[in-house]
Amino acid sequence: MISEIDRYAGISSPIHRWDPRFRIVSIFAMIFSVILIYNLQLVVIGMIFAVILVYISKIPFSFVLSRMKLVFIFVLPFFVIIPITFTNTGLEMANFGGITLNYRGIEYVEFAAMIAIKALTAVMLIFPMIGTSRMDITIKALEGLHLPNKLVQMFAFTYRYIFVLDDEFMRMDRALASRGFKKRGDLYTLKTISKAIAMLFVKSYERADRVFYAMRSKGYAGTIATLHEFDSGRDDWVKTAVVAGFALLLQVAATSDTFGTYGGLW
Amino acid sequence: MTATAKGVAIRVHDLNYRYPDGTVALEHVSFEIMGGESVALVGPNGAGKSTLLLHLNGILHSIGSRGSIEILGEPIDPKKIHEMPKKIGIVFQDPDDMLFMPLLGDDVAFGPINLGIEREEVKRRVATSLERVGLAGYETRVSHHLSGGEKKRAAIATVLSMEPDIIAMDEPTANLDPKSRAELIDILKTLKSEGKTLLIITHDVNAIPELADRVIILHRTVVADGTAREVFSDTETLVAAGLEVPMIMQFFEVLKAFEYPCDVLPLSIESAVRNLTETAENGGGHIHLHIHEHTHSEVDSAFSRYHHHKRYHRHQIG
Repeated sequence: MISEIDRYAGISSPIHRWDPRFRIVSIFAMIFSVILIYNLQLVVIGMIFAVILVYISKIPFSFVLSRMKLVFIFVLPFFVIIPITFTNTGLEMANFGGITLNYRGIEYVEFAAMIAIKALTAVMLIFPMIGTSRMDITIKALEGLHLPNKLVQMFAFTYRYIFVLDDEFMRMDRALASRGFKKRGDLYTLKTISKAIAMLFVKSYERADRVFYAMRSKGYAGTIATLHEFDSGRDDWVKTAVVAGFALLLQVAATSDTFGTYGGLW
Repeated sequence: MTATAKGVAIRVHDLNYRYPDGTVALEHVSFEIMGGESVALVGPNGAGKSTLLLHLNGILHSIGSRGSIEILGEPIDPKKIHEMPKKIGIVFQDPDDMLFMPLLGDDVAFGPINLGIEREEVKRRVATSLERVGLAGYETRVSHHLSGGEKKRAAIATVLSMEPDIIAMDEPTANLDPKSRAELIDILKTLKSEGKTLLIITHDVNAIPELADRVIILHRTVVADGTAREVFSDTETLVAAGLEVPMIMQFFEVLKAFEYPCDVLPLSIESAVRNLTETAENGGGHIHLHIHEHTHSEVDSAFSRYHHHKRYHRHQIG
């Protein structure tokens, strides 16, 4: 089953009560700010800020960390790939028939750590950003932010039909299992699964056709609008000032002499 | 409720359609449905019923269909399909196709917003449409969490909110449990009593007598068109099209073999009750059934008329 990022949308916290339009823009700015920084200390400060935001949002850290597992798996190899390479710089570690493996020094380990923390921070910030309101409200916030309507429609349909597709795939999976199919590591398994996925594509295509017909039957002429109304108050502006301000502060700090860009690497 | 109680609501004249692969789907289809009429469209699987439905609001159109359909007296303009829902609303067979927005309230508001109706009125329509299908207060529900029966009703609400004069539905009672089916039939009956023009595709022959004044059998072309009684009496055509007659009608045909006096076979339970009461009253409070030598062969022949393969077996009555 697809896990829902908005599972904790129902609880109440200052982040939950923040107008989603302001919240999305502010935290998005924060994500960008962290990604653009090339200074380990500042990135760590960004991460602490992200942890504080998650704490305030009352989303359980266990939930956040379990969703971040994949990111860990993705960033861990950086600790090997960045400091230890086959380029002929640094300390020679091993020689494989003329190709030498080099260790490039502690600053490269730091660099890898920075990349990893940046990635983790960016992903962690997504939870207070969109995990604190129901997905449909988030989509409406995007609409409210005047994101191109086609893009909003794509989000809305992805959200609406991903569960339908998931159900459909689960049904196929069960149909296979009920006729004695067992997943193994062989070619037959791969072929069968890929055929099932191909069928899922065909079914999705046909469903897309039918949904489009249904939309046309209800007078769809290219854009989608809803009735939702957001109202923002002083609190929303204050929170925005804090988070977006912090994002800006990080950038200002990055250009100052105290935290110059990463020494010598870029 | 509707302004079109009189006059022709749907006029289809010589409609032809081929699927993109060349297969003929509809051939010389012609019929007229008057305003306020309630019509059941029956036919075997693959007979072109759903395809016909998609033609009625101009979603499917081709050279073969040009000018062959008039809705409320006006031919369909392929350039103005987005205005069609004011006149005719279509309820699709799979409610998951119709409920495409994040929240149910958005789905119900989708049609009226597209029709350019102002916000307050849209809100009112959303509330009343949901209430009419028994889903009052469901605005903020997420449609993928609804039950099958609720989804079917929700799909109807998304069409009701556009307040069309004509509503066409594709198998509204299919795949429902008996309670949900009964609830749905009640909704359809209410719409009928309000004077909406209804065109209902269905395989549910037992529901037709309650819902429809008229039955059209479609099998690529119109095979039969008449009152429910007329069409159900023409067993040969019905069976040839792969359909059947209501269970209660079959049962009274069997009763006739047992010499139950009955000229007009009842189509629904209600009329069966009336029929039985009348017969009992005429018979001094009793109904007499008799068994003769030829009773079984008569039952046999009644069954073979109504069924495609099944044969009635004598030992089953024990």
